[in-house]
Amino acid sequence: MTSLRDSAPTNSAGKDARGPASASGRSSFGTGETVLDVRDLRVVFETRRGRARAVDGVTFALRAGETLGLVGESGCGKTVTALSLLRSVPDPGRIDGGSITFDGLDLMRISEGQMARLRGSRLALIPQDPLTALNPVMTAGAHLTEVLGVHLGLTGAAAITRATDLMDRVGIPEPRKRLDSYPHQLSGGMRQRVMIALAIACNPHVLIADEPTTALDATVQAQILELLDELKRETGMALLLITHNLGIVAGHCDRVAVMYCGRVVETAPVGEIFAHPHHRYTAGLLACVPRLDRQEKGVFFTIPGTPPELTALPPGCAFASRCEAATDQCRLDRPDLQGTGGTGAHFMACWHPAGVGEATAARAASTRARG
Amino acid sequence: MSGSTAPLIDVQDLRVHFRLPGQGWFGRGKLSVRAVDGVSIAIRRGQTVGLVGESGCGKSTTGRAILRLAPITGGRVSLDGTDLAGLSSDAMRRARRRMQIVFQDPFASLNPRHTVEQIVSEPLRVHDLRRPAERLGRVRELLELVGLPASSLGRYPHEFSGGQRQRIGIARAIATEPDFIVLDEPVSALDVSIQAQILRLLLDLQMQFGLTYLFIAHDLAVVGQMSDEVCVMYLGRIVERASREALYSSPQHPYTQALLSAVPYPDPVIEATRRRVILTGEVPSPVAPPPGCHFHTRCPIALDRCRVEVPALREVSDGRFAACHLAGSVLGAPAEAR
Repeated sequence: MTSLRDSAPTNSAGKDARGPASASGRSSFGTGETVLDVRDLRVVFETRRGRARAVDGVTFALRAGETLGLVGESGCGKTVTALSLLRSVPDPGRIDGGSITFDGLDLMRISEGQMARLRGSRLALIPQDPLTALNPVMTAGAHLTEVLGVHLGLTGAAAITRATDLMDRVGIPEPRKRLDSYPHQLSGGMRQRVMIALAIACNPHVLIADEPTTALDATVQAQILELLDELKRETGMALLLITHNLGIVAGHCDRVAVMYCGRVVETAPVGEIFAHPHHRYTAGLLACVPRLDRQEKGVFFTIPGTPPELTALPPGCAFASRCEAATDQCRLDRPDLQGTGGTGAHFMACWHPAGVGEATAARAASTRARG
Repeated sequence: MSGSTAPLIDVQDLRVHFRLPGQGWFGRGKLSVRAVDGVSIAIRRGQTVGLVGESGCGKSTTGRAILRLAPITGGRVSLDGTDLAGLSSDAMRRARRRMQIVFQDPFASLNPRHTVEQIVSEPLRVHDLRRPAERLGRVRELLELVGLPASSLGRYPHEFSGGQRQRIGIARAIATEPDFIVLDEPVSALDVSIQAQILRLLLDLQMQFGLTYLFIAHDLAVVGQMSDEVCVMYLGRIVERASREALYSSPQHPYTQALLSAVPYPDPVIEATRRRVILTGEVPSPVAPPPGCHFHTRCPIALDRCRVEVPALREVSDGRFAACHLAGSVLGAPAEAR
């Protein structure tokens, strides 16, 4: 696992480092300085059915100015990972081990008071559903001035001015007037913009966005993602983008970590993981995604079966029961993340990785339901 | 029976207007929402028509109105050439057996207090299909068709994953051996790897039983995998209709162009180079849609005429229909510019 952390930052130029086809002219902000370092993070939930290991030894680092995509399907532990970074894991869950270092602070050791000062200021979260995250009896302005007062000591006219600037910055028309709006008076896209204004109010070093556009329509989703990219370029903050949508990852992330059943099964720069997925789950997931440029009725690739229960994980690889390449070794012995030997930034936990070019073979093998 | 070219489902100028409560005195000046405002769709037997649009565009209401699950304000719906409005209650009951629906939310659309056997056999009882003694066997057969183990019979919906629950919903829908099924966002609530399983099941069933589908979804990539023809809706109206190939390769309506452009590609190389049409603003309220072309407030190429005159859905080129004054002209050519 240590090799993952010590690996040289290969994607420090941000978006421009994506590949030969990258658009030029985009500003690069990745300075390579690690702002968030997560090692061997473990979170357990004690449930009636037994102990569920929601996060089971997750390691990753986030550098200033970069966007790391945390990808996986429901229940893979991506949201719990995000919440544990803020030490906000809901009951009956608790952090069971590992370390989180943020801006040189050991988040596992600081007091609850220190943690509260970090939350929403230097370490901010945009939750998935803005409607439940905003207080229905508080105006957008009240939300903003509260945060500005608590963290920056701004009050009165100064707070109002700053709040108006923030609303303007996130693209809310008539920002001064909109400060008086209650959440129910705002559309879904506007609510998410208010959440973003709240999150960036204190110039965070790390912004965690948990499925920030899942509740939004496609055209609004594109607007919000564009806004996040812009803010990242302007401020140089690091973005941890949690999503199940591989299209969003392809367009907005520098690096990716793919999670399955509480573990990171593969991590790499975005261009590399899409071109050469090594883990069988990553390859399968990529082949499953419907694409606009492969529109043919009835051509599908499917991953059979469903993920195992977190309370009854097998001793070996959690994906083995759905993997066509699985052997007895996979079922009994759990693989750890190891380098693929390529650029030095690509790691995967698979005993029988898909070879280079095999992903395309997998797509070609996708059966036709209709001739 | 009608000929092979006649549509199985023929929807003409369908309108569904909902009155909003608490407006004005004695019903005067009441506001209404034109959820569906003159929609025409024809689906031939064995074909799938995809209906796409953003939330609130009226696509689900259209699906429900076709099945008479939403009150129809105007227009007509024909099944195999028979106008459903003219049917006696007995005949309507028989027609209902031939038209089923699969809902989006497999958590809300199954009765949590009923076992899988009760859920799947209910349509058999309601439509008095099979002798009571044969029904259990039929339920077993249906479960096998949708890929659920026979041990599911006595279990309750909460014991199943989202994908399995959707299989239960599909078993219930095909229980009456329908001709036509409305699939209302059948995979939107599911994970990608499970989505593909359900979509494949739906296509297998379509081939096996010659089913006709109306596939309602907001995800254009998914719709393309399932449909022969695609209709795009915006604020209660169809703004574009074309074959799958035509719609995806050269969309005619600026809204379709923007919608396609907003779909992210799972490919970093394409994402880095492609230019997106990013619309400003959001879908206006359906209570007070903009005059003229509903889309003019967000349209990158709107002219004065668009603000006043409602564009009709017209044939722009062979088999392609678009409701845009500019479609087919130089200005309306597929624009990949921002």
